[in-house]
Amino acid sequence: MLNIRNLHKQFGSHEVLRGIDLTVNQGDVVVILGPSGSGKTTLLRSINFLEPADSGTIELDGETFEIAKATKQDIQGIRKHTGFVFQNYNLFANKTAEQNITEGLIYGLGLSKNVAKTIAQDVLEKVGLREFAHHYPSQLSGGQQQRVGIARAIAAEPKVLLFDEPTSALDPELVGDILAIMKSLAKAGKTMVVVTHEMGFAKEVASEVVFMDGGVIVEQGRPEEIFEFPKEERTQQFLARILGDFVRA
Amino acid sequence: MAIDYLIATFIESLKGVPTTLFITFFALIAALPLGLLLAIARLKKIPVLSQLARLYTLIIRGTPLILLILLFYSFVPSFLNAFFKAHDIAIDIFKVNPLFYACTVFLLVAIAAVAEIFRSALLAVDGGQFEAGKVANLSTFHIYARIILPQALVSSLPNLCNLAITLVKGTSLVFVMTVKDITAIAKIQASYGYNYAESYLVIFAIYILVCTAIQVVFKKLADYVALDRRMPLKQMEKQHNEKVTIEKGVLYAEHS
Repeated sequence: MLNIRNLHKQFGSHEVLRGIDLTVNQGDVVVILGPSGSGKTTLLRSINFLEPADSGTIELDGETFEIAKATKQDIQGIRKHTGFVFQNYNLFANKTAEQNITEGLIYGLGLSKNVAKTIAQDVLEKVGLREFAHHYPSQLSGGQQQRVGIARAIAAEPKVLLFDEPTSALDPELVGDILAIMKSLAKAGKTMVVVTHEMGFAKEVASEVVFMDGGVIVEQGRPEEIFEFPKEERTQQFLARILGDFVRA
Repeated sequence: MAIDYLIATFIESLKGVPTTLFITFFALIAALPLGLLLAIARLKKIPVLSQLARLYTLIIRGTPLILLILLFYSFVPSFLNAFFKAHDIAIDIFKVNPLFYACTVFLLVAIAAVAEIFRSALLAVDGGQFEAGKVANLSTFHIYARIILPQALVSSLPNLCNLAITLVKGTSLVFVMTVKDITAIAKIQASYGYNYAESYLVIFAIYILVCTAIQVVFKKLADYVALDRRMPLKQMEKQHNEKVTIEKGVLYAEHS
């Protein structure tokens, strides 16, 4: 489904991604873990060219793109088939929940207004916000805003859903709602790549856990392998710190 | 009688209000697109245009208004006259309405101010929305036109109101260009019988009235474009509560 090969990215003289290879199969839920500055968010953002990588290839749904040579059409094609959920929701503040969803469908994908509206109502229903279709983001709680963010990302039925720390900006009591929605998406067979610090979610939902540090993938495997028997020292240290915090909290 | 004079001057000076408002709003409205252009040039760091915009703002903001007016009124007519003569254009420069010069000077001033207002307002819109638009395959133009700009416009209303008031007060200087605004009329009235103090009192009141009116208009405008107005929260809560009550009612009815 999604095949990333030899991805490199530099900010100035700082190498953020140093040759990333990652394969995501249809229906996989890949959770990317790692300390901050490890490049996990950059990796996610390079997949849909929000932060274009310098070199490497991305294969999405059978089509291969050379990153350095990707045209505007290529990028649009990739974005059409990927949904992105932001850490800070990034809803259009001057649009209602429904318009946040229809805007991209109508003007990005060229769907008719009626079709877009029907889709919007449908996805808002899925995230439990049917009643809130005509609310503006400022009238919604953080959790509700992120649910709209998810609805917006799944509206065009993308092949891959990308989540960039979708719960880090939320109050702790709202995190559960978002994770529940993500779980139901996973159950529905959506292919997902998730950058998160929610270990519980990783353990329970991930089909594959990737641990990144210093711009490389240090270790990857099934969640039980990574959490119970991490092979690399860096993974062990990271998990000890995170899970230690978890126990203390 | 002093009171008669006050009333007569008040009525006479009111005739200058349209001129004052015309200069102000002509400058303000015409400056919106041009100021926006400069703001975008600076934000997007468009070569040449960006530096020019910066230099322009620097010059205009660093010059007293009265000096701009005097410079403009001294030089531009002579230049235009020479230009028209050289090109055999049959326009008599001394018959050009001085209002034309006044509007131009205030436009120049307003452009610099609007550019700064829009620049900060555009910067204040969260950049994440731009990324969200890109991800949804919206064009840059579309994102600006339908998402970023509308928000920037709303948030710049208070500053535009301040600018309008500054311009109104600035127009009190256009009498040096022989434009008959509020101040000019009052001064002319005063000069007949040397009633300057009374005249100044009268226009003191008029300027306060005009500026207050402008603030009220902008407040109404701000309320009108505020997002909450489109569906007040209270109304939504009420609708929601009603719905819940109805649903509960149905539920209870089914159970009983």
